[in-house]
Amino acid sequence: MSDDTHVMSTTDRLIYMAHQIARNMATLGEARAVTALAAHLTSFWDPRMKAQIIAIAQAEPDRLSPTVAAAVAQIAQGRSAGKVDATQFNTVDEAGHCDAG
Amino acid sequence: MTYTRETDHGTPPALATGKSVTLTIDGQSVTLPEGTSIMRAASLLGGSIPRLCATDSVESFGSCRLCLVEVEGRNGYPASCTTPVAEGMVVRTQTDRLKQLRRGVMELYISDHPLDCLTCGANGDCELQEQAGAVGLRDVRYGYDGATNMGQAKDQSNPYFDFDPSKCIVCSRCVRACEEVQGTFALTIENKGFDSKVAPSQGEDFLGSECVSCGACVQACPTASLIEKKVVESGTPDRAVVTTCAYCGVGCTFRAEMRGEELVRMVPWKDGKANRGHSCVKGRFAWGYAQHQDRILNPMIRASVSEPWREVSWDEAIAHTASEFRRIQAKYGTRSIGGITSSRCTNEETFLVQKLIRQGFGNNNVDTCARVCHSPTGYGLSQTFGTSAGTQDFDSVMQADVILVIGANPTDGHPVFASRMKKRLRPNNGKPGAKLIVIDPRRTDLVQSPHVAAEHHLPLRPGTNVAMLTALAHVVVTEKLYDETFIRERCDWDEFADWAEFVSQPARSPEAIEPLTGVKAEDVRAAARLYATGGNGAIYYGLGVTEHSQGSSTVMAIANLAMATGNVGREGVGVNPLRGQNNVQGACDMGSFPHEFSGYRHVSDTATRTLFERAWGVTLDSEPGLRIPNMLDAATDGSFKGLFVQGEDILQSDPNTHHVAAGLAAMECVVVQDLFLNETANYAHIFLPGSTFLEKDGTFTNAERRIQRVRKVMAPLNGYADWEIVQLVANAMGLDWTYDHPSQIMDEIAALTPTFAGVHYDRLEAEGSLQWPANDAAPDGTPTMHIGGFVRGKGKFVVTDYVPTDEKTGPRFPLLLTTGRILSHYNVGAQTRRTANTAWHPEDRLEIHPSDADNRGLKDGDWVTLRSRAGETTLRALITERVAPGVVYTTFHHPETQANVITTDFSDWATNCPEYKVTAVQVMASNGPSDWQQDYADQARQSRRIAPLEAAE
Ligand code: SF4
Ligand code: SF4
Ligand code: SF4
Ligand code: FES
Repeated sequence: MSDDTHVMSTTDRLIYMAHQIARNMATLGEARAVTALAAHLTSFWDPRMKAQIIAIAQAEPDRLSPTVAAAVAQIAQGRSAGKVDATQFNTVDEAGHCDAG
Repeated sequence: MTYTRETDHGTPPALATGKSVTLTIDGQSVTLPEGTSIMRAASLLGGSIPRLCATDSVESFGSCRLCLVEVEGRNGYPASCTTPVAEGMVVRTQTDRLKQLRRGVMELYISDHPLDCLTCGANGDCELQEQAGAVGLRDVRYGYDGATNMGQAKDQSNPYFDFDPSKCIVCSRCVRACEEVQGTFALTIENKGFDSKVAPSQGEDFLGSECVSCGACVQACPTASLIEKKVVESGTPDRAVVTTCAYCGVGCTFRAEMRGEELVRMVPWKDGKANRGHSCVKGRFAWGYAQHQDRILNPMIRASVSEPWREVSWDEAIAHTASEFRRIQAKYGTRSIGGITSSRCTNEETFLVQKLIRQGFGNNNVDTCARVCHSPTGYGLSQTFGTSAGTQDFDSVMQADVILVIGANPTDGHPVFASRMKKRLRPNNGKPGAKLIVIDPRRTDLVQSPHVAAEHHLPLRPGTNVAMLTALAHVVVTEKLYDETFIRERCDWDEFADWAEFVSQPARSPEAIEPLTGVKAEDVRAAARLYATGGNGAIYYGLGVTEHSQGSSTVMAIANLAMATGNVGREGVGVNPLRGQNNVQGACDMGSFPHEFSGYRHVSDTATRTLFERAWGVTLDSEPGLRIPNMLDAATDGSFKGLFVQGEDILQSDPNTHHVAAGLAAMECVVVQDLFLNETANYAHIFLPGSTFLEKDGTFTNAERRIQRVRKVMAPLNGYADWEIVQLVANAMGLDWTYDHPSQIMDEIAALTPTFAGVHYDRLEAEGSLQWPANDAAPDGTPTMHIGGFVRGKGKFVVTDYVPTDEKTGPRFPLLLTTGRILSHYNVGAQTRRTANTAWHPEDRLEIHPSDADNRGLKDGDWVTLRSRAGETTLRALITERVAPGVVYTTFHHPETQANVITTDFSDWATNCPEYKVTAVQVMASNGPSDWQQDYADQARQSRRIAPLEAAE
């Protein structure tokens, strides 16, 4: 990307966002980061965005890092209800569950 | 209700010591807290001792000598305002000797006061007049022709109030109010004796002085010396209605003082628990926009945005809105439309808009402007503590020993709370002031202002908050300053250990990050030690924390720090987001986010969804909807075609204006409901005129979770309150809503939201306000959260890695731009720009350090071009050392500047909250507005045209 341009296509932005989340979860370690990322995308991305990233994973797999690819694969298989770590939903008290995001 | 002033007990309540004394006043026995003045005691008994220099908003001073009393066994006549009650005391407030003395005092005052009472603006609302009556003054023996202070020129420079020195009795109430209540120290008494007079600092007039126009002095003045211009113009009010300010998240309550349907003045309400009788220039004076000529009062439609607007009837506008949305959904699918709720509207209105979308549109495409300010707060605090809200009430700050302010500029953004904070920072009655740590790229007013100075100011480079907070945690952990008992009891020890290990790594020490943040390591260490060991540590933060790529991480890092030091769960401590707009908290609570229902419950949660499905009689979508930036992307892609925007100006307030404009332009139907043709309306097809907070009933929820009533004081000029308009749209879409009053909407919210279960209008009427959670478990609401345990059970330490933003400086864009706000304006300025507040901030300026200005050959006031990778704009430079070299700063209150043309669309990783606070830019000399600004101005002018009505046959 040259120093000047700042226009991301919507596809680029989607890919960028997924990797940005993954980078912020990296300290969890690979396995937990994958589950946490899948859970995050499941909770906060609308169905069309999820479908888009799944399509990207199929059409252009090399644009996704291993972590993102693994998380997207989990979503694609529909077993993403993982409730792990950084996006864990809590039911301890009445105001539990996930939150503004 | 008819008009009476609020009772003034003469002196403030005594500081609580727990001890009380019993005495007799005029034969009545009374028991009161130690330290209460005789004057207050008499007033609490229902009496009133004549007084001029005392008022209960400030400490007594004892200068007028009108309040003399007799105390058995004491010589002379002590002043009741400065004499505390004592055990067994016997006081007489009205004897012949006292009457005589008081009349003598009064005579002196009146001999130097104009006797134009009948034509004076304060006639009927003047304490001097009232007290002259109370002491029975009938004659002035000195005549009226001696030397006097009358005939001096008025100072009318302030746009909202006049100062007439001729009517001043030099009681110093204004001076003390400015010091004690507001904390600005703008007024002094000049000279001595007969010549003494009140003056704004150093010979300036009010407008040119330090005065911030908060109105505290006007409120305190017993005469017409300081008086609202509006009272002079309209006369004194005849009734008063308590309501809540619609500007910022402090949520000050006011008495709207009316004469018929005309609003005469807004007077801060002493019983308001958020503001305790104080106000700022916006809420107190800047409400003229409600009647501004730019306000649109008739609905309008047009087929394309290149056409002029056409005024239509409400029926036509509503029917058109409904049919357009249905048409688009039929063509492009259920998920092709959505809406945006407003943090400026009431809880009830916000709830209805999200209900319209979930129930009527059949999807979850609802978001709110909180997205662009505090969504990371929601995410971060829920992850760590379990709920999305500040932990304290505002009063809590009075118990704090160390106050840590991060990325917030309360004196400009949350002025009334800042006044309270400054009160705690100043020593008071022998109690030392709290210590202050400020973490902010800019030297904000709080860092150094009269009688307040930060112990530590850490001027970090924008975008390094997480690194800084982790370094503070590094010190706390490695120097073993953490609170082990608290952590073992309230948190998960293993999670703490993981986190502690992470923050202890040498790479996260203050020394290691010094090159990154630009802050000296020893300052960071000292600040960490102070916060961890200085007693009650309270953290207050603002948009300088959230509006970053790492916004959510920073919020979690703050929460980690508070938990590690045991600073959660009691008065005087806590983690407190300072919310921007008046109802940001409420908009979030009411289910404005696309993934959750009211009370922060995820849409995928079957139990919650079933509850709503039963109540609303439809099947609800279990998939999260689109957030604002996602909506715009989807619009650009062609899958999102219609948007309902209530009370929001996303084109001006959201980042990367080009991106927003492209998204809006790609939609087939944009409906804007607002007071004015805002910038977003330039891309709208339907305009539904909105109502002001003065024209409707409802509630706002402020930054301390306090739910307060908004009360209608006049009929809506546009015909309908905003909630009624949403109901009309809903019913045109076949939803069959039947609300007659917002209280019924609140009842529905309470029935569907566990944290609001106890919130009903009759409770609010009785209590004045309630802080949620208010339910069976907390019937009186919850001033302090997480007492004895966290909402989520155990507090959770979340490891927050510092992932730098991708917005980087480089040779072409060497400076970092950060943005903020200023006291006299509010958000995009749609309201405040339409008031006399423009006297203080007529344009946005670019703050730049002298060395950076020098390098570029810029002088103060020069026009400069500000360019980023996203776009460019022009504005005038303000050269100041408030910003560090390498950093520039501006506000975004004026559409001509369009500071968001510059900001990029990078955003918080977890919530997509835009990164307003860091943009790499270049600054250079310029001749005037950029091409883009001119094109934009043309486009705006074009699209604001309203077709003249066709002449009747
Ligand atoms: S308006 Fe406020 S700041 Fe100005 S002089 Fe009066 S009290 Fe001080
Ligand atoms: S201006 Fe009003 S409050 Fe101030 S000293 Fe004069 S009379 Fe008192
Ligand atoms: S703008 Fe904020 S601080 Fe000012 S009066 Fe309104 S609520 Fe209070
Ligand atoms: S009111 Fe007590 S001396 Fe003025």
